[in-house]
Amino acid sequence: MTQPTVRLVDPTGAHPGDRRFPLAPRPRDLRGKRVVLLNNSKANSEPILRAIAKILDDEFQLGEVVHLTKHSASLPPRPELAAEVRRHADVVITGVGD
Amino acid sequence: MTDAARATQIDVPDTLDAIEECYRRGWSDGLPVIPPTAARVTALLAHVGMAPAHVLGEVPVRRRVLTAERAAANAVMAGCLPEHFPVLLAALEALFEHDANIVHEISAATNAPGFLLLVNGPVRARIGLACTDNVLSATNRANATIGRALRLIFMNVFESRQGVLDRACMGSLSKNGVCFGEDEERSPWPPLQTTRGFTAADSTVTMMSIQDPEMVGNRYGQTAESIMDAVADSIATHGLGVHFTFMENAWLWLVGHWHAEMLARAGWDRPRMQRYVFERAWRSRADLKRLGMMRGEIVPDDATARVPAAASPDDILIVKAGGDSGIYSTLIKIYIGMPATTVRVREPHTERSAR
Repeated sequence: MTQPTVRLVDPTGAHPGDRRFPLAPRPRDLRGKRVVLLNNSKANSEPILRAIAKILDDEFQLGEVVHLTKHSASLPPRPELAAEVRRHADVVITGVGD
Repeated sequence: MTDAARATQIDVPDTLDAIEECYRRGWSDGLPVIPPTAARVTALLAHVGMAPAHVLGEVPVRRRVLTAERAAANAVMAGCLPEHFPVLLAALEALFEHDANIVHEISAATNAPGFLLLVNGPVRARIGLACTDNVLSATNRANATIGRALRLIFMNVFESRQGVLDRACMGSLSKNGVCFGEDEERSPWPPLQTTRGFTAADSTVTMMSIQDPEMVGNRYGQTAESIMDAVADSIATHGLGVHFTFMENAWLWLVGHWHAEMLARAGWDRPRMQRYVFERAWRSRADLKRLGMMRGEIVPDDATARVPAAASPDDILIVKAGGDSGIYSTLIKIYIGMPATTVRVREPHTERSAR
């Protein structure tokens, strides 16, 4: 007699194909670069971003520094904000500051 | 979308071993699951007439696609019967219609929101969904399994796994999903869905992300005002733990049987109750700073500055639910990720008659 078999359907997720998200080219040098500080809207995001920008500016003499804020810490930036980031930035610094 | 099309299948020797296999593969929330056999998954799909590869939605920030087959597999594991599946699909529809990326917001959040599926209309009786005694407890199959199915989908399909993309600090009891019905039959007020663009004949799910419920035990007040004052007071206190200071705050007041009876006897309707509670649910800015919910030193103006606990009177949803064995209400904070969103339940027979 053959062993009875239970066939299970794998309930785990599928990823939507091969749409890769390549990283933007890394800058070789930060000197004179336009930097967007993207505040994720958490309470301590702005202080930590300002501190990082100051350290980088002291060392590399950044160009224009623009402060922008997301509407939600856990959602992607809205398209208008993403467009503004693209318009202003050679480099973006973001992160959670809770 | 080749990877999304069909789920792979795994053969195991017998049913008990299948349950253990589900544990081994990390598909369980800790409790045993019903093995998602091909036959059971097919039965759920057949009930709603969906092809396995039908895409219910995609979560861009998680790069994950939910197909009908995977939703059904998780529903089977949770213990759902085919007739439960349309309720789960309605909750998923609400989620995807609102913003699929809120999957991340409500499952990665350190403060551990759960989710609530409030069901209205005839589907409640058809699936045996509890609306009265023990309404928030998992005491029967429909209440216990539909919310659990959503949790398993979050884990298995959207990768909301402990310590990875689920970053809950303290966790929550409602994370396993809370599903129940409004006690429309004994409610003095119109069913909730009729205040949100549907008719009483429509079955609906109102889906929302929530913080854990808290009981409001006003047993001796005996007046409508005393009950509403207690609810407003609970809102003002409850909010301290859960971002009182966010202006889009909303609340769900489950009015217990005798509270509803006293309020109705005194002639209170929903809009007046909402206004009454809204006007009294606030804290001073000084309180919020003193208790660490708001930054900064307390300045003289703070003592008289009121911070409302809800964005507007309409953001205090009022629903009659629960049994008549005691004199209680329950207060639920609606967490900011998924605001209360109502969609129709598409049961097969209602879909047929609609054609």
